[in-house]
Order: sequence, then C-alpha cells, then structure tokens
Amino acid sequence: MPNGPVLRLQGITKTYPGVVANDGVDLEVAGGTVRGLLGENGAGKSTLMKVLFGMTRPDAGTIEVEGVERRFRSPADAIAAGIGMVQQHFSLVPDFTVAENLVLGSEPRVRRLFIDRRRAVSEVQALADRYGFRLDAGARVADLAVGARQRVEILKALHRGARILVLDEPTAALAPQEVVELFTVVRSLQAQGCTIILITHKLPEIVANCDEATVLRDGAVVGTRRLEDHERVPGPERDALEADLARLMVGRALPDPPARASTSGGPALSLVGVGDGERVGPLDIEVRAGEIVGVAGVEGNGQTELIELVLGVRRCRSGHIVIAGRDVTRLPVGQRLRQGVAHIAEDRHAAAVASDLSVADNCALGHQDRPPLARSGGRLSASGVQRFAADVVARYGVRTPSLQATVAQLSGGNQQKLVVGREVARRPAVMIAAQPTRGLDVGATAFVHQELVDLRDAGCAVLLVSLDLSEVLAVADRIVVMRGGRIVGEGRPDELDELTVGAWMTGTSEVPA
Amino acid sequence: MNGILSINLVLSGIYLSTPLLLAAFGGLLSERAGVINIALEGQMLLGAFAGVAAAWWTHSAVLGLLAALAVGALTGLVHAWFSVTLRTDQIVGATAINLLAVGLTSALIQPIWGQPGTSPSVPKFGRIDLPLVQHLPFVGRILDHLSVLDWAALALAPVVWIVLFRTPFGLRLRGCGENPEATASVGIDVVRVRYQAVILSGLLAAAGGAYLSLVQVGVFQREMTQGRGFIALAAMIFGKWRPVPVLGACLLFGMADAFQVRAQTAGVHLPHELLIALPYVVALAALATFVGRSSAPAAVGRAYVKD
Amino acid sequence: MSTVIVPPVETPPPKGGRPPATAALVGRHGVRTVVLFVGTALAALVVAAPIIAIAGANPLDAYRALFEGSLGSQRGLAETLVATTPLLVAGLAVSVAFRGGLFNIGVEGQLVIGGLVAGTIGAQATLPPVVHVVVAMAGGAAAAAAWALIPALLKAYRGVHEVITTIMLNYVAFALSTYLVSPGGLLVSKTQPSATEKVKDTAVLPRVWAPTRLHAGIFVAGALVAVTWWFLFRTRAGYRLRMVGGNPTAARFNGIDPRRVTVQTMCLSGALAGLAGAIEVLGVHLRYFDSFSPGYGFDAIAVALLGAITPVGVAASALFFGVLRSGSVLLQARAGVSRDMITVISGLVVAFVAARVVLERRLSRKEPR
Repeated sequence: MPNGPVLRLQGITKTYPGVVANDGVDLEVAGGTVRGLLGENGAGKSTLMKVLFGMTRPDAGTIEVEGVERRFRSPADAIAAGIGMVQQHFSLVPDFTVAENLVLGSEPRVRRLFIDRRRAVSEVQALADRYGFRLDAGARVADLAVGARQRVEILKALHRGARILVLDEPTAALAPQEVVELFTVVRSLQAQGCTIILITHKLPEIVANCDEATVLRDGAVVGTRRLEDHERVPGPERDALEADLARLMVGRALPDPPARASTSGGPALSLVGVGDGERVGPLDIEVRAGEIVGVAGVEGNGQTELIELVLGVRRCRSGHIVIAGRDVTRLPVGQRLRQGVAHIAEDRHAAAVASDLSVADNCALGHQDRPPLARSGGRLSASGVQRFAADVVARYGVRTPSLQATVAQLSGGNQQKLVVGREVARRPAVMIAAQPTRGLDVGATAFVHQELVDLRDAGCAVLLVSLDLSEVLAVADRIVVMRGGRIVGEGRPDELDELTVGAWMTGTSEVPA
Repeated sequence: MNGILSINLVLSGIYLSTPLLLAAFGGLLSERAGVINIALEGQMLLGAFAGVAAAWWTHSAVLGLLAALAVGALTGLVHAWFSVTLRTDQIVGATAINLLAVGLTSALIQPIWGQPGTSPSVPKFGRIDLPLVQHLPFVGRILDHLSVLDWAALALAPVVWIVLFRTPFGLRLRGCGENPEATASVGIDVVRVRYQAVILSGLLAAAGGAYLSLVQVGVFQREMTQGRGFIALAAMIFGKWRPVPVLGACLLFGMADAFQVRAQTAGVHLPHELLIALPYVVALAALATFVGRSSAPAAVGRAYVKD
Repeated sequence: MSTVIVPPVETPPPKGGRPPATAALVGRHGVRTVVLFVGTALAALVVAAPIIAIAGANPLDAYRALFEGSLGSQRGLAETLVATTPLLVAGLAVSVAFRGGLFNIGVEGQLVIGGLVAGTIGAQATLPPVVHVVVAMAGGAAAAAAWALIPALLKAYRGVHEVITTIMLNYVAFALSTYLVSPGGLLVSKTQPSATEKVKDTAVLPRVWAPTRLHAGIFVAGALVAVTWWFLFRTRAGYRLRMVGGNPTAARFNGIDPRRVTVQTMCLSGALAGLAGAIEVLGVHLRYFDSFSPGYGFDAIAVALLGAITPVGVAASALFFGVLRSGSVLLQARAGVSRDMITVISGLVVAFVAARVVLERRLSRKEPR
C-alpha cells in the first residue's frame, strides 16, 4: 500500500461575489485510504471538489497530486492527473449502453474509422469483472437501477485511469441495501490501491467507512480526525465520536426533531385501490387530519406517479380518491385544489415555478381564481396580487430584490421558500409535500419541517414523500414504504429501524411487518 | 390516370426528393447533436442563390456548387455561433437567418443581374451517364437520369447511418444531443462537435438549394425554395430522427410534389393553384399522425453551458 | 422544539397595493428597455449599411431617402402610420403567442385569410354602416382564428411544433386564397383579376386625414394595444396564458389546463393576425387582392421581438418598421435600393434581439449558488 500523501491541497481560497466559499483550505490525503469530508450544505465541500476536479479555478492555493504540483484548467486535466469524480447527478448518456458510455471519447477502432464495438463490450466487461462490479456491459443505461448506474459512473472514472476517486453524496438516492453494496465496492477499490474521498453530510457513513474524517464549516477546515476501528463499534465510544463530529460540523447542538402529533382527526385523504394501470397501484393510503404520513422508497418506485394521481395530473385507472369527504377521482386538478389540496413539488423548476415570470406572478399561482386576487368578470386584481405576494415574501423571508424580479434571480432556497409560502397560504386540508427540503441548507430544512409540523398541528393532513429516509423518520407520524408502485410496509417511526424500512424498500430480505 | 402514374412520375419524384433529402439529413445531423435547425429554409435559399451567382460569374456549374457549399457552411457557422457560443434561443436565431436569406437574395437580384425577380440562365449541372445501368429495364431509365447530387442524396441515408451509429464521431455527436454534460465529462469538446454538426447541416441544406437552382431550372428566382426547408424538417420529424425512415419520408413528400406537378400537365381536373398546396398538406397530415416528442434527441434545443 | 430564524427581508415589499402598471407597460426596467430598443434598431441600420453599399447604393443617400420618404412630408407621415397599422396588430399577434410560449410564424397566412374573408364580407353582405365594418373585421378575425386552430390542435394534442405547422399553413393559405381569386374562382371579381369585388362603402374604414390614405384602422390598432395589455395583465385568462408560457407543467399542477390555454392562445394570436389583414383590406385597398401583404406577417416577428413582446413596446417598434416600409418606396425610387432591404433589416433586428440574451445574462447574474 502506498504511503505518504497522494493528494495535498494547500491554502485553497475561492470567493464568489459576497461569499467566501473556500477560505485557505488545507487537505492532505494518504494513498490507499478512505477520507471522509463532512460539512453542511454551504460549508464549501462542493466548491472544494470543483477546484480539485478543475471545474473552477481557485483564487489562491496549490494542488499537488502524487508529489507533483498541478494546475487544472478543466476536468480533463484532473482526469489526466488520475482524479475521478462521481457526482450526485450522473454524467451518463441514458440512451447509450454501459460500454458506449465508457468508451465515449476513447473508442477502440477498427480500420481506423469505425468503432470496434465487440472490443468495447469485452474490455468494459473485463474491467467490471476485475473490480467485482455486477454489471452487464451491453445493457442500456436507461434500463439500469440507480445503484447500478452509480457503479457505471465509478467504472467510468476507473476506465479513465482514476487513482483518486471523489464520491459526492453517493448515498443520497440509494436504498440502505444499495448503500451496503456501494461500500463493499469502495472497500474493494481501496484494496486495489485506490484513494477515496467521500463527501457527505451523513455522519454514520463516515464513522463506518472512513479512515480519517475532515470537517468543513463556513469554507474552512475546522478539524481532521483519525478514526480507529474500536470507535466504529456501536457503543459509548462511537456515540461520543459522532457527537464530536456533529458539533464540529454544525458549530452548535443539532436541533431536536419536531414533536410528534398527539391527536389526529378523521380521514382527510384516502386512496382505496388507486392505480394508474401501469406504474403504480393498486394501493391504499389514508391520511388523517392532523397527521403526517411519510412515504419512503427508492427513487422511481411510483412516488412521483402517486403524487400525480392524487393531484389529478395522472389518470386514475382504478379505485377511488377521497379528499375532505368528497370523491375526487374523476375531477380535474383545479377542482381538487379547491377541495383544499396544496402541493410542494419535488422539482420546483419542473412543476412549481415559472422562472422567467415575476415573484408576484409566481406567488399568485393557484390563488388567481379566488378573491382577493380574482375579481368579477374574469378580471385579476393587480393590487390583490401585489399585496398577496408581499405578504408571502415577508412572512416567509423570501429574499428578493423586488416583487417584479424574476424567480430566476432568486437562490434555490428562496425559490423553495416562495413555493412553501404560497402553498401554505392556501390553508390546505391536505398538503402533498414531495422532497420539500431537497437542496436546502440546514436552517431552511428546519424551517420547512417546522411549517409541515405547524400545518399538522393546525389539523392539516400531510403526505410527505421523500427519498431521504432520515427525513421521513424524523418528521412523519406514520410511515408507508413504496416499492414497485405498491405499499409494501407500514408502521410508526418509533417501531421501525432503518434496516427494516430498507428491507421493505429494496425487497432484499423478508422482514415481517 | 395513365399519364400520371408512370415511370416519369417515379423519376420526377426522385428529382423532387433530392433537395428534401439533402436538407433533411442536414437537419438530422444538427438535431442529433442537440441543435434545432429551422434555418434550413434560409440556408437552402442562400445556397440556391450563391450557386447561380457563382455559376453566372464563372460559367461553371461545378464552381457554382462549390460556392453554394461554402455559403452553406458559412450560414451553418453563423447558426452555430448564435446557438452554441452565444446560446441564443435556437429558433429565434434561425428565424433571423431565414429572414436575412429572403431579404438578401431578393434584394441582390436587381443589382447583380439588372432585372427583377429572376436571374438569367446559367450552366446547369449535368447528369451522369452510366454505361451499363441504362440498359436495365425500368430501373435503368431512372438511374440513367440522375445527377451527381441525386446520387449523393440517395447515398446519404446509409452514409449518415454508418457515421452516426458506427463511428466515434457519430457516437460523440449523438452524445452531445442526448446529454452534453455527460459527453463533456469525458473530455469531448461539445462546442466543437456541435459546430461541426451545424456547419455540416448548413452545407447539406445549401446543396439542396443549389440542386433546385443549378440542376432543376438553371436560374435563381426570388423565394424559390417555397418552404422546402420546412418540409425537410417535417420529413426529419416524421422519420423520427432516424436515417432510413427520414429517407422514406423525403421520398413520400417528393412523390406528393411530383404527383402535383404531373397532375397539372396531365390535365387532371383540379385547379393547379390548389394542387400547389398538396406537398404541404401531405406533410401536415404526416405530422398529425406523429405522436409526441419521445423520439427526439433528449437535449435538442438545450444550450450547453461550459463549466 | 427548534427555533426557526427567519432571515430579515432585504428590501421591504412595496407599500399598499400599487399595481405595477408602468412596470408592465414599459417592461421591468424602463430605461434599460428603451436603451435596448434604440440600440438594437440603430445596430440593425448600421449593419445594413454595408449591405446597401454592396447592392450598389450610397447608404447615407439611402437612409436619407428612407427617412425623407417616411417622415419628410404629410403624405409620407400618413403612409408611415398606414404601414404601422397592420404591423402593429400583427406584432401583437406574434407577441401574444410568444407570451403563451408559442412561436406563431404563420401570421402571414392568417393575415391573408383574415383579409380575404373580411374583403368578401365587405363586398357581399348588406348591412348598416358601422355594423358592416365591425362584422367584416370580426369575420376576418374569426376565420383566421379557425385557421390557427389547426396548428393549435396539432401542438396541444399531438405535440407537433407550431413553427413547422404554421409555416406549412402559410403556403396552404397562399395557395387557397390565390385559387379563390383566380379565373373561375369562387370569390374572384368580375372586373378585376386576382381580387375580390370592391368593398361596399358601409364596410370601409373611413379615411381620417384627407387627402392621405390614413384610415380609422390606426385607432383600432391603438385600442388593441390597450386591450391586449389589459387582457394579459389584468385578467385571469391572460394570467393563465402567461403562466402556461412560463411553465406549462407548473400551470398544469396548479389547475390550469395547458392544452386548452395553448389552443386559446394560438387562436387569439390568429384572430389578431386576421384583424391585421382585415384592417388593411377594409382601410387601404378596399378589396382583397392576391399578395396584398408585402410580408407584414414576417416583419411582425421582428416587430414583436424588438418591442420585447410588451404591447407598448410593440407599438413603438411597429412605428419603426412603419417608417421603414413607407420610406422604402422612395428608397427604391431614388436610391435604387430594393424594398426587400426592409426584410434584411427585419432579419438583423431579430438577430440582434436574439443575441441580446448574452447582454442580459451579464446584466442579471444570479447570486452565487
């Protein structure tokens, strides 16, 4: 196993207008080790990795790889130096096969002009087999599950000669069992001499899998710590370590999870035998007034379709949907919303805001047909829109230059606050919250969770759909797990643990419900 | 109907398909690389104009064709600069090219040739005499009457198929059209590939235009492309961005055009003012049967932002 | 319970409910909009100069002729406003479609249909004075809206891009209208080839500035600016249109049916285009004749884009193109430059507007991350 640092960053500083993203960061990573890089959103992890991968140039500081100082002007330079990066959003061409994705840019050729397709497949298959990856080199990427796509992404980096591999939040979209498989892969890579940098904000992953952990906060390194094997064993030593790292990371004690519901009323949303005839159902879900029901599951197991069914955007082929006592199965979206449904979309750019329209116009969306925004004769009250938008902006602390600024000018967090504020302002009987905290920092996340809890306490039925299992466990009063478009498990958070839920999510082992 | 459905119909169907094929495959290359090209119409028109102008000055149809290709490549360069480098709205940028093409070619007829609306006759492009095939029954008569450009156009489908699906260039080009960020992540210069595709696209469209002016009539008339660039685009969509179906769609639309032309000369009792609309109506009907955008390249129309 | 710190609002929201009337009228950044407008128009004229030189004329002489012809006399001024009228209404047609997320490149064909039907109603129907002209215009608008229904339905229910379908329908509209006024055609005049019968006096938009051709259509166009603005920014239907244009999926998730709105938008755009044709026929030519439009429907794209697709901006840019169109007569006569040069300038304006995104991208950078 190689010794000495294979990677040494010194004094990396990067500022954006108004923000110091990295402030004199030093980082040394020894060869053949797994390094954890911890930090909240906005702590500077992403910027540091962009610098390391040549995606942005630092204002100051040096990068040394295997003892040689390097200047990266593009990812190509970083790749040439032996650095590979697996990002949260995979950079694969879904329409291509695994082999095509890997050879893209360095295709084996026959008669100089043509791709040697047979050799491409056999080379890629050999590489996958060498690292013990379960992958079919001839399969189309679009047909693969998330975990498999991630293995393709890792393989792609290795294929391009990566010896230092950066994994950016690799477990964000994985089921617990897929996470286990990922870390098996990580260890096998380490055994073959690779150096791995694991970026995450999940403490247990670091503690379980890393040799050393570095914590970033506000753009600076606030501590690096070696992890001993005895500290990984569950017990007081491990608890102390986790508490230690958490304090370094947040700079204060972690907020308590919101309080659970004490009482709940009658059913506000019930789905009986609901299905779209292809991707989802038939399934039954009931959410009572004053209750948060969390829907957990691996991405792509029918959650999106479920939301679309409830909202009426997707046609319901079987069963009945009842909202606030009224059968809405055959009603269009608008009438369901009038029954008291609100919706925080999982992808706000796709389904919640029009980025090129003003903050005022976006605040009005969904409110435009009711007074005080609506006026007689199909008119829209400009002053009503203005007042309403000003109210949302003020109440939810949306930072915007003006109400006439376009939503595109706001940061992601402020856009999300606008959406949350607009939807909460409907005073809904049923709130559909899909991934409501994706991409938000810790403060904004706590804010959104509190809003959901307040709604619940005010008697609203909340359906919380999230890929982040810890979020569901922390906020929901009851959890249902979706797999293959069906409900495969149900329970209260205090009765469940991550492994049980994980088993339901993946269907890998049978755990009695 | 005997006078219409004949070998001559097939022949003129091929003639009329050729400009569509050239432009449609131009569009296919551009869109497979992720850049919408509704400038095909303007590029054809400029190609038709440049071809005749150069042939008139040099008395050579070959030099005319070369000039058309050069102008087509230049228009492709402009479209690429707008849509790839400046990242403007690809449709609005192309509309500018279309308007400029109509305006420029119409405005320059008078200063160059001293007469409005149309150029004088210039040397036309010859046919190729193939010694053996002309003796074949039926097919021989068709093949015998084709020009270089007809041959080139008919060969485009297999050639483009091989390039797209069997060469590194094609793989990279499709990568740029499906997921430019992923393609860039392996060190491929997306900007460069898109430029190449869009320039090639302009070149092919201009060749289609030059075919109209240099092969079919030997003059330039104002606005002589008459929407053929858009029909080519319709053929590309109807052919679901795949070479062989696009070939079929172009032949279909070409036949509709040929039928229309021959129906007029054969004295069919339909007013020719109405028959002129036939190719457009056929193209519209074809598009009406087309469902969804699922077969379009995933990233078509989406600008690629480096970094 | 955790404490939630809501960050303070940086800029206080506007007091009370002052509606953003001026903002919506002039665009969000009034001064910048005006500067961009003038800059773009000037840039197009400057770049067109060497092209005019290539065409064998002195650009300065050409522009002098252009502006003298359009602004230098009572007649020129009137002709400028005459040309502004259809450009303005057609420009509104393109703008409304853009606002709804549609590129209606078929305005020219819709305008022809509108003109043909209005001319026919004007010539054939017998109605009292004011009613007749209103019915003729409404008929032209309705016919053009129906014509636009085809691409509207294809877009909404088949997903076929409207640019291709609307342009195809232009050629079909040209063929159809030419046929109808060809010898033996259904609508052809007995005395005048390639035209319909003369419009009855009851259906004529009256002249308002004797002895020039300026007619009441300019007031109709002005009223349409106000109505379009009011519709877009003060009605729920207008809000739905803008929201579908901004993000059809977000609209759909909030109870707005994007397909329905798309169909409505395209038909509304078509109706405006039809009105442009109707006004031109009833106010200027007093009969429909083949190719009565010198490409107003295509210039309208440039008009809409230069006007930043706001109604008032469109009015200003229609005036600019009105100057070019009316000046082009003297341009051709005195400087020997083809009127087609106006189309070149249109193309340059569209190119510059397209390229402006680069500038706008620089001016409004997002806050980092």
